[in-house]
Amino acid sequence: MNWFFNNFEFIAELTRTHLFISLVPSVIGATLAIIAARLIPQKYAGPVAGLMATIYAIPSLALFVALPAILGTPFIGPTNVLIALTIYFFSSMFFSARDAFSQVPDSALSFSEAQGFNKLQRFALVELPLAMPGLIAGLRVAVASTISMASIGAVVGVRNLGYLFLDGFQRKISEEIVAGLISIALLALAFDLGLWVLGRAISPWKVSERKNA
Amino acid sequence: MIEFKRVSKSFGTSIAVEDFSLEIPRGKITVLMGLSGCGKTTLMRMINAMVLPTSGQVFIDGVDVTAFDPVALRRTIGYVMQEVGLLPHKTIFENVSLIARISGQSKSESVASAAEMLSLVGIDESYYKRFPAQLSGGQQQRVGVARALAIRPKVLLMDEPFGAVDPIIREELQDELLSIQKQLGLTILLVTHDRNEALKLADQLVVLSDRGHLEQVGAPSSFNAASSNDFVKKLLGIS
Repeated sequence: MNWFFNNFEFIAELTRTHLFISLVPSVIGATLAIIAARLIPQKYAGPVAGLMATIYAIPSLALFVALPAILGTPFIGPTNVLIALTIYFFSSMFFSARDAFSQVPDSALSFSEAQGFNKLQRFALVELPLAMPGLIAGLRVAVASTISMASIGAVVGVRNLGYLFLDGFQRKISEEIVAGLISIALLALAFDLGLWVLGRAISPWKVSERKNA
Repeated sequence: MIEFKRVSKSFGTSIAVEDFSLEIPRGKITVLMGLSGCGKTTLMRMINAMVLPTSGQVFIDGVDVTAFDPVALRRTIGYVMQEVGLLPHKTIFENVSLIARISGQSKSESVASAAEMLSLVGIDESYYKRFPAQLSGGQQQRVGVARALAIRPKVLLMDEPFGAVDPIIREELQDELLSIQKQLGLTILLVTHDRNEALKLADQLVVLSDRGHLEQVGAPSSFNAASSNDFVKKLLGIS
């Protein structure tokens, strides 16, 4: 614990980078996944889902170092990590987002169409709020895995909390490794908890359904 | 008045409705009755342009429905269906006021409409803040009716509205519908396969067989052993 407190400033700085490197892909990936899940027609969903599964199976380090070759981005620096994490986030979130939209009851959709909701009103007032519990569940999984995966970015020169593993390993400071582990776990936990609270706050009808059951 | 003029509808190679014509009088309840798959729901959904005829025309007060913007048209025609389709994430009151708001009423108008129609269908204020899942099937359909009325429609379309409600509540709801219809002077088109419901509610009863074929039209009292053919007698239980 001493190491942790003595290096608090340093850890705080790494945490800021870690937040940046995981949250930017989370926001972009989630937005794209929700749009894609809603817009890709049913008949293409299978192939797209297969492709996503394949992408998700690529080890993250491999993708970090392969992207410069494919996209011509610089080898060192956050760009590759941001892009790779966005791709992973999208791949993970796409499934749960499709699931979330398929949970929306048909009767609510067909009624709202027959009673004169236009497409935008159907999406904003019916589909999105009803898919929200499922979307939040998908977000929780994807955000937690992105925060953990981001640490591998340290290997390609992104100084985030993962750096504590690298440095601790090279210099054989086990306290540093433990500090990295705890910091990342706390970060992931904090976001998970935050999303859980958010999910309950915006889905009061789900809470009352549970009470009813 | 609503008029079907030589309407046909096919979905791919299957024919749902063939050469159907009918006049639906204003301020009355017209019941379309027939076995499932006879095209009655398809016919009803042509009125709010949810289904477009393959040939023929549907007129509302002399205007072909395809002349209207479908979204704008649907906002003027109340819609009630068996599955109710309340929005599970909105409270009872919001479910009703939202529909009024979508139909173009101001915020204060929509609140007034919701309160008025909920009380008309017998939903107590203590239910206003509950969610649909906390209501019984019968109560949900009361809200479904209130919601359709909140847009202050002249025409109400009801697709097997009480089919999922248990028999005692169903009779209650039918009685209330009759009184509401008189009170508001609504033109109602109701689809059902329940003969008791059809005979009880109809001012004009329309019996259909496959492909929307008209078997008999008239006041329920005009259906009897002499006037009806075997199909109609069997469907209505006339001996």
